[in-house]
Amino acid sequence: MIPSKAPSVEVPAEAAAAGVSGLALRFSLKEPTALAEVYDLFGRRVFSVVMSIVHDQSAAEDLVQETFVRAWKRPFTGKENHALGKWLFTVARNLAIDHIRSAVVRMERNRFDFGVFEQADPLSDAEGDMVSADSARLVHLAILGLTANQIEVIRLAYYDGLSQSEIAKRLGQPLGTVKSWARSALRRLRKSMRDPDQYQ
Amino acid sequence: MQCPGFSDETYAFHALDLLQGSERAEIERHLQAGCGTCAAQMERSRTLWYAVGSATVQAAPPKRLRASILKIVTPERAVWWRAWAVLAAATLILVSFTAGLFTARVYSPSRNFVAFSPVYPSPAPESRRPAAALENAKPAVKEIVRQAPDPTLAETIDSLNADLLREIQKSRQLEAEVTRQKSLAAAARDSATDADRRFAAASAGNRETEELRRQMTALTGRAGELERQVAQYKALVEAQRRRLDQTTQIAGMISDPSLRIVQLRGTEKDPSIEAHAAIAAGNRMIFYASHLPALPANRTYQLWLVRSSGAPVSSAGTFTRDSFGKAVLELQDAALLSGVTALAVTDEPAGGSKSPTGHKWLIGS
Repeated sequence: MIPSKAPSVEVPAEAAAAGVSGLALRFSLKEPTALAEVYDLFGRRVFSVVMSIVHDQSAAEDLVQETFVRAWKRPFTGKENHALGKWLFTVARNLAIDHIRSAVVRMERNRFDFGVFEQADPLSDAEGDMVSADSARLVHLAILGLTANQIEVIRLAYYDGLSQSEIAKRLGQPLGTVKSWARSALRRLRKSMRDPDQYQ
Repeated sequence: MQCPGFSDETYAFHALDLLQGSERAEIERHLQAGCGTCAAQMERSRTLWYAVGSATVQAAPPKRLRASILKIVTPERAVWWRAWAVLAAATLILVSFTAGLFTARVYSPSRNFVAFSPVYPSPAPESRRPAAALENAKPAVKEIVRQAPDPTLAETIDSLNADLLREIQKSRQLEAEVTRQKSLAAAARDSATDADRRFAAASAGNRETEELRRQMTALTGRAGELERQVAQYKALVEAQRRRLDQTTQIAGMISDPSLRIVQLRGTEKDPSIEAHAAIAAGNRMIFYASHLPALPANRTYQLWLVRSSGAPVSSAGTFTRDSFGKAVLELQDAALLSGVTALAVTDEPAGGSKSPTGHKWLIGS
């Protein structure tokens, strides 16, 4: 877990026993060092998602910065690190999808330089967030078991921000077919996480 | 349990802000009316997408990004915060002391600290969504080889899933064991040092000397043995971690827009063999095979890349199957992977061949 660098905020033992994360609490209390710790825990993964959507390093930097500014300014009251992570991923992805929906960006989007990817240990910064590190590994494997069509539906929805009817048009398939691909893909991914409710 | 009319994918797409029209209005009505089932299903979907997002192939943010994000906290704010913290702590001590004088009130974490109500930003209004413009967008996802549902692969993935869960648990146990062994080794070393000191202090010819020397030798030996064990456990943990990362990387290529999946089929030699190759960005390939039969000791499997131009057939390396008949091969070589049109696997003499000479086991294009 993340070592507490700010002894001035003590999480009461009862609160710790109730599953209150020191980091999420310190972050919501706007303790200055908590921002650095939250960035170190989630920054690379959030950046990776945004980068996979916008394919533009400079835009990705702006969007990730905007995400953390919003997180810092809102009165977040999450009880777990991964609740904070879920919020950061949701906001970062929404901002990135809004960004690619502008026409100018869409035209430039295909000029993506793969050199910006480093071959690094995936999930290495997720160690303080074991829940998502483990479930991400399981989801990784489940993705392998999907058919190419199912993968494409998940990818077009998550990274390209297309609705089911937009995906149907893009793939030249009936809406019912796309819905059925989406349903079976999601069922498979959910199954891989065993009981997703336990991660909440 | 879910609301009538809403399916899993409805919640999942709404969690991505991708629902439109009446479906969107309907689910929003439920959520705004405080429907507990819908709220729980939405949270479940966000958890799923969070895991999918965490599985994204990793890109490194530049260091300047961290620095510029940390500027959100100005030095003035930090000073203000510290002052606030001291004041809050002082107040807390005072209040606890006063409360303790008058009543044995039990602290209630649920009331005071666990005020958890994650508020997600409202989705953009539909009027802002340029859906029509998107229809004309050039596909960002390039060609993916279409494939029929593959029950064999699905079964393999299920068993891999179970293996992985076990490995994660084993890794954690091993890490705990390393920590325990380390403290034992440290204790043994301390005892040895202590015995050494006593030995030095004892006068020559003292009857205790021999006994102390014996103790010291035993303790030093024990410490060395424990340290060797620690090193062995560390190597085991490292091997576990490598296996986990390998399986993670295979599907981590999912977000790569140039991903191409090639399915290989077993030849008449053994049609039950299955293999897939995932090629991303034209420079990275992960090859995964299952149900491989054991070969004689002097033979090895060899993977071949078939190209439309240049050298028509190149070796991508030799590999062996594990005890479950599975094999994973990783390759990172832009020159070797350019213009690949097909893949094949043959058996070759140990050490591999320059060109295929043995039986063909797998082929796919």
